[in-house]
Amino acid sequence: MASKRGLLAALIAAAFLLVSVASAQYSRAPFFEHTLEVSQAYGIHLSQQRLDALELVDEYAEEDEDDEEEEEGLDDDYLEIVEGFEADLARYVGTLRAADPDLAADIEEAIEELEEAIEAGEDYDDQLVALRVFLDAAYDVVIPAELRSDPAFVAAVIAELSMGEGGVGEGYEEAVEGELGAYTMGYAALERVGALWADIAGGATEQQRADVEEMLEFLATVYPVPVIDEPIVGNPEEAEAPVQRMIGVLETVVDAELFPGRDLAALAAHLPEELAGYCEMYDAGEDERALEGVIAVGYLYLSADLGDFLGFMAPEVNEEIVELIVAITGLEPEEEGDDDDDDDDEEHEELADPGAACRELLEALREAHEVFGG
Amino acid sequence: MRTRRASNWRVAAVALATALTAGAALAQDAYRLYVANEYSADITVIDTATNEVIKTLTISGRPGEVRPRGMAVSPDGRTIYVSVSDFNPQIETPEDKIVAIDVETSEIVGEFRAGGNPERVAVSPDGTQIWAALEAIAQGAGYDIATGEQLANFRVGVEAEGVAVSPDGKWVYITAEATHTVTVVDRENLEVVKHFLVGNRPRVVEFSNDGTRAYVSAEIGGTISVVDTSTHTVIQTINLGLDSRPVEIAVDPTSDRIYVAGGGTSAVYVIDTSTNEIVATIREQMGRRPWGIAITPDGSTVYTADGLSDSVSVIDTECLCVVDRIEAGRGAHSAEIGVIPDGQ
Repeated sequence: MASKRGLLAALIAAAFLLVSVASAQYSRAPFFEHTLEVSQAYGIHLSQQRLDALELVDEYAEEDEDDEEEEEGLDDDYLEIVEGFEADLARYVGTLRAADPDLAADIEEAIEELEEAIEAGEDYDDQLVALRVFLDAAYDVVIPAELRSDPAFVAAVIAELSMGEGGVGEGYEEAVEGELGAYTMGYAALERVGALWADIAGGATEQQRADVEEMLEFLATVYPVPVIDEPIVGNPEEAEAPVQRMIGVLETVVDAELFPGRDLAALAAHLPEELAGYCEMYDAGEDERALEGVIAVGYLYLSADLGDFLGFMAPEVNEEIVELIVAITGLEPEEEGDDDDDDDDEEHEELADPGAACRELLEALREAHEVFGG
Repeated sequence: MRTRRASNWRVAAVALATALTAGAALAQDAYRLYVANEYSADITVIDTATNEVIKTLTISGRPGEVRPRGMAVSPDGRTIYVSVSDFNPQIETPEDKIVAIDVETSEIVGEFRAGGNPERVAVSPDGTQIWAALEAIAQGAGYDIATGEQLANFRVGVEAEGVAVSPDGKWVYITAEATHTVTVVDRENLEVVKHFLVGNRPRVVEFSNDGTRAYVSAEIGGTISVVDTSTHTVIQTINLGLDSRPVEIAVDPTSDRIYVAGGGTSAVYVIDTSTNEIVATIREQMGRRPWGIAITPDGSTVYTADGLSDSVSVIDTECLCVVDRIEAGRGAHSAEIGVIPDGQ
């Protein structure tokens, strides 16, 4: 098997060397420079976005009370919004606990109380407000001040909220597939993107500002209301094209590379380098912090087309990587025709030896890098 | 495709010159520009002699649900083929099909099913086959034009997008957006001979007039990959800039130039393929987000389908400047030119 893989790697590498082109048009690369911090910031923003979405759903339900009988609790369509808090937390809680264990405990407790209130069909306003305060505080603890004010870093977070899981593009796509909660998440992501853009728009030229705002305005027409009752009929990629165009303009505004998979070879080189330190953290008993790193690396692998490419050109390598990422982190790759069926609801079982799995993943990612001649 | 058609037009041009020399008085061919409008589900038909819209041809009465996208023209220029699909790649519907339009009448004269969300199409040089990139099911498929029968289908990369048949008819190239690859199909033996990597998010592939090179646009990569078609390997990458977002390519049948629609910068990049250098970038007066692009057989005029301004920009290839703007339908996506022999 190894020799077959080796031959395949050599063939692809030879081809790739001819393709590779220096694309260093932008001076910054936040997904490479701050892989962990971008993932952490994205995780906290995602949780805040969930709160935004729950508020929007709540407001909608209250407005609807005049027309229909009042129903207690959160509709099943929106439970997925709540279920994501745990996964978001894993992106940053290790760093948070190391810096401020009380705040980490407060967040865990607040999430639990919110989930319990929703599960019991009770009013959850107080829990929602409490969690929001804790998340705001966590952002300041986890993300260094110089990054919080760095336009390139903020733009990377915008890119994740726009093109990533639970983001503007995906929310609309899933709404067409019948996921009503995903639509509201996408709506909330768009509002968050607009607010973050306002923070960095001062550095844009008049034309850049007009271009970004035109895309935001267009996206607002794609998301005309915060909550929908029925699946959207139309193009599931309606939001994707303007989102990508907006991120393309943002790259020019902040002089930073915001498509981390643009140079697949560079990404394939970066991921094992980034992961190595986190595997060592497992050996040092810092499992939570190690997991943050594996999530950051694994998510980039799955979301930035590297997995798609290797799945096509070197499927055995990809299969091993994906299995390990899923086993360690619980992240799920998006499959063709994935309709969020019952399989996705399976509990993620914790590994007995995540450190060993991390080292296996490291080796597999190094093999993936070799596919590109690394 | 344009390249092969260009060869035919070259032959026609030689025949025309010979006839004129002999004192025969022949009328000139007339050209019709077809623009596929993704969101209004129709085709804008433009007379290139006047740059006037002469017809809007409805493809579907359900705009927003059904969309026409990529187009190709038959070798004789008389038939335009349009790939039509619904917006939902998850389900198979009757809307996934290829529609044939007669250029002389601009009427739909036939259609056949092509399941799996056909995004772009290409016609074989002998005019007997049409090849489609089936986006939703990651396949390239060939169809017999006379019967509509599917001749073969092949697994290609994820999100198949662009497709072209080489001028000698030997190869079919199919791009795939998500895997950044091109798949090469041996058309005679109906087998895949190679997959190779190109720039990030490849959109469109076109062959050079002589078929020795292929050019692949990469939207996120901001590049054009130059492919040696004897070995199916990338031999050079032309960098247009990361914000350029190139999509369709028009190969000039009369020169070494190719014209690339840059959707990100609302520009057209003019490349001299003898040096693979960008010789001009046309920005002034351009419509917004040019995505589709086509060139007249005499090489005098380039047309772009501008998706954000719902327009067509008209470019004079002498001055390399925009000389006119024509209103199109919503979401102008692709452009193709058909021929009416003798300008009937």
